[in-house]
Amino acid sequence: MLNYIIKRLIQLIPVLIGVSIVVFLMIYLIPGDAAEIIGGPAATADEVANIRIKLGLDRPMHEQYLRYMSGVLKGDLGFSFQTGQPVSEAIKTRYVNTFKLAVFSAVVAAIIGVCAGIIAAVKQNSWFDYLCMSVATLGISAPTFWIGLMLIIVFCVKFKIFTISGFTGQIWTKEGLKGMVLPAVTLGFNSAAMIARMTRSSVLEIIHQDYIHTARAKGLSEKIVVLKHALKNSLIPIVTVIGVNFGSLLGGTVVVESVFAINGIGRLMVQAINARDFPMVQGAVLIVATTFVLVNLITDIIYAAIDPRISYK
Amino acid sequence: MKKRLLGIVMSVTLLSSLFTGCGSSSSQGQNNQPTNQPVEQKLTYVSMTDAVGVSPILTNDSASSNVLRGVYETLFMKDPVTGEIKPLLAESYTNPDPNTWVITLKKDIKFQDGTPFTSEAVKYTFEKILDPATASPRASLIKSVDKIEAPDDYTVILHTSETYGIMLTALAHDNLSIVNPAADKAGDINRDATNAGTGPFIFKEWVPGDHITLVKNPNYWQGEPKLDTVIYKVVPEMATAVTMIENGEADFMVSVPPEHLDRLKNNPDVTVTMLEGNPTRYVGFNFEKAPFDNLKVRQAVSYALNRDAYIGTLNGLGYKSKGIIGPRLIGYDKEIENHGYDYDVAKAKQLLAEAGYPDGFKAVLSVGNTDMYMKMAPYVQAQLKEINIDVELNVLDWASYLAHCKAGEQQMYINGWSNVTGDGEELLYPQFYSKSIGASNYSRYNKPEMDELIIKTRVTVDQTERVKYLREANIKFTDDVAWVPMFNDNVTLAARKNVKGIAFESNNEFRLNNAYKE
Repeated sequence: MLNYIIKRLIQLIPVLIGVSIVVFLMIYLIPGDAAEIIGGPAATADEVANIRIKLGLDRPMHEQYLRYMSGVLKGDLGFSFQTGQPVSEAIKTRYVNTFKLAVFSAVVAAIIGVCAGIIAAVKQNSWFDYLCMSVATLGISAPTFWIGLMLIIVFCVKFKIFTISGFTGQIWTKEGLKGMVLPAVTLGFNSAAMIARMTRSSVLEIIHQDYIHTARAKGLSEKIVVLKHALKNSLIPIVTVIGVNFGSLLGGTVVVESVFAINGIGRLMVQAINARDFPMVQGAVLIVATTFVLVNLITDIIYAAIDPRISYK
Repeated sequence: MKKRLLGIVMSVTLLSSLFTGCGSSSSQGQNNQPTNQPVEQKLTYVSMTDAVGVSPILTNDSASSNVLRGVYETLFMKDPVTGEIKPLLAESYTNPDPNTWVITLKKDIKFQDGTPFTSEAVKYTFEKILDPATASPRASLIKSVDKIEAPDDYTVILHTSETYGIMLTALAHDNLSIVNPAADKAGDINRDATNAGTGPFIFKEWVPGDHITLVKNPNYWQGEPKLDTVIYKVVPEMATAVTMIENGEADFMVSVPPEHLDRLKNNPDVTVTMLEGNPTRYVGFNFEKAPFDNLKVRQAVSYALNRDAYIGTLNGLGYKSKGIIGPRLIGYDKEIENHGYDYDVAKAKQLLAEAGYPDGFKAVLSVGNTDMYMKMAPYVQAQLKEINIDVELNVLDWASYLAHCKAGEQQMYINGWSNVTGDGEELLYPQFYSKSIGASNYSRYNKPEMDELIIKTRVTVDQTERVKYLREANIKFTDDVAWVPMFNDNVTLAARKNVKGIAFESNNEFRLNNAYKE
């Protein structure tokens, strides 16, 4: 198992180099550069040229890339073109916020999705099943920003239960919860819907197997039959969906971060792309890509833990 | 079963009481009921974008300028009501000759760390801006200054290489604010501007992407500000920002878009202030590309656009003026309304025929993907269809759009211009001077006689004479359809009703020196 993990971690290196080259080329191939953005519409050609020299944008493309990558190998992600802030410092604050949001919403989504999926499967074709699957369809199809704005109107304007001005405290405090619940629910709604549908179909498939009938015939309670025998054997596809969703939660927080004024990495990336702030974009993408790969690795390890038939050599 | 049901009911009740408890406590600070408790003098401004930096030397964007105006001060300032340039850190000035500006500074002004404000600080700031290694984005504001002297603590002499009539308006520009040399030498004031200015508020904290906090300068030379804290909160989503004003999480915002205006106007807890503003939104042409190098074609476009109807869609957020230099700028004169072009489709068609395009032609209109211009573009497209100009829209993200226009790749384009100094020259030189081609002269306008006129509006030191040149230029550029001005902004400030004393200006700027909460 340890060898497998080390092997997967080594595979991360070419992935990250590939990602860095692709991001670098994309940023440089689209028109406009950071010097023009910093100079603004009123800047003269001389002013823009001076800014370009200061940022090193006058150097050949390969030289810029190699200089950047040599910094990265030494653990230095460089400085933001636009603000001069160290990229690692800028990413750290934002990453923590996004990670908190993604974890919280993944937990919310997993709990709601798995519970709703199990009940919908056990009570197949009941009103609860129809309700769950209808809400799940809404969750998959409704745009995230719309859900966010609707929740804000109901819970922040009408009932003034939650706040919308970003994270204002630690998650375990009242203030922190007030700022975290709505963005997490908004972000997790789509995931919860997908998990619910996957859990339902997965449990339904298992629940009609012979060994489940045998378990019932043995006189086991329905709770034991569902949770121990049916759910455990349905978990592989559910864990896969949760893992994949968590990765996309990290990368897909930009809308939720904008709607709820959360200072996260998704918003940082959009701002950086608009400002052609290459070091910032590159740093943020590398961090998100690393997380994505690690989450996939953890998902694979969990497979082995929940299904004894799976092992890694 | 009953026990379980009871448990569920109790859990839900507890949870809801926890949150409604949160809600009621938070709304206490938001209602307007009389209370004996003193009101916390903390003001939160919501901004769509974060500042780029907090040093006037290294920034050039409005989000940064809003912060700079609290921390730093300029030698001169524009009167928010009259638009007249008056001394701020300066006491007075004289011109012993047209190329020399002797500026006397006010005495007894101190930087926020207690260091006296003297001519050395002015010299230090301007020399740093002019140093090419600094790469200051607004170095061009004092580019003509070739020598700076500080003969005594309270006198600064600026020598210019050419006469520079707009020196005072330039010195009123936020990006020529004076910095504290001690603070600048001690660290990077673009990131941490603690004690870097003479202004009413001291920089305290910047969490990039989230907020900037300023606190009062108790020793401010014009008197202690009433506000203890000012927070510039970044909220990129407009609907969220408006909601924050409505529920009291934030205190004020500027530039409310038309679709949210009624919502705020109808809220009894919010006051919306609207002023005639100086930004102009326009349709521009590339003068190097046919057929827009032809005056008759440009006139036809101008006649074909029904600006009154478009302004009618803006929910009161725009007003009409036919000139290039709008009503809120130095250089405007009512005479310009007798020039320009009214909506007249028949005349437009006739001019197109005279220009050799009786059946119209195809054209590409480039537009940056901001809400305001994305709304204008299809309108222009539909109106020009009426005179058989088949317009294809080329929508680009903002950075690509800037590069596209600077390179002169566009045929027609939509853009806007907002003046910081409120002087018409600040529009003419960047937009139409031939040496600004490749930079801000997107029209690639290049006419020697107009260059000469623009230079006169820059170099003439006699202000009455200079204004005459600006008025003349306004008429000539308008007649030449250098742009088709679509509308001028009515600028808006939306604030909670208990917020008083914000000085709001026609270019969307605000000052909080006398602001407070009731």
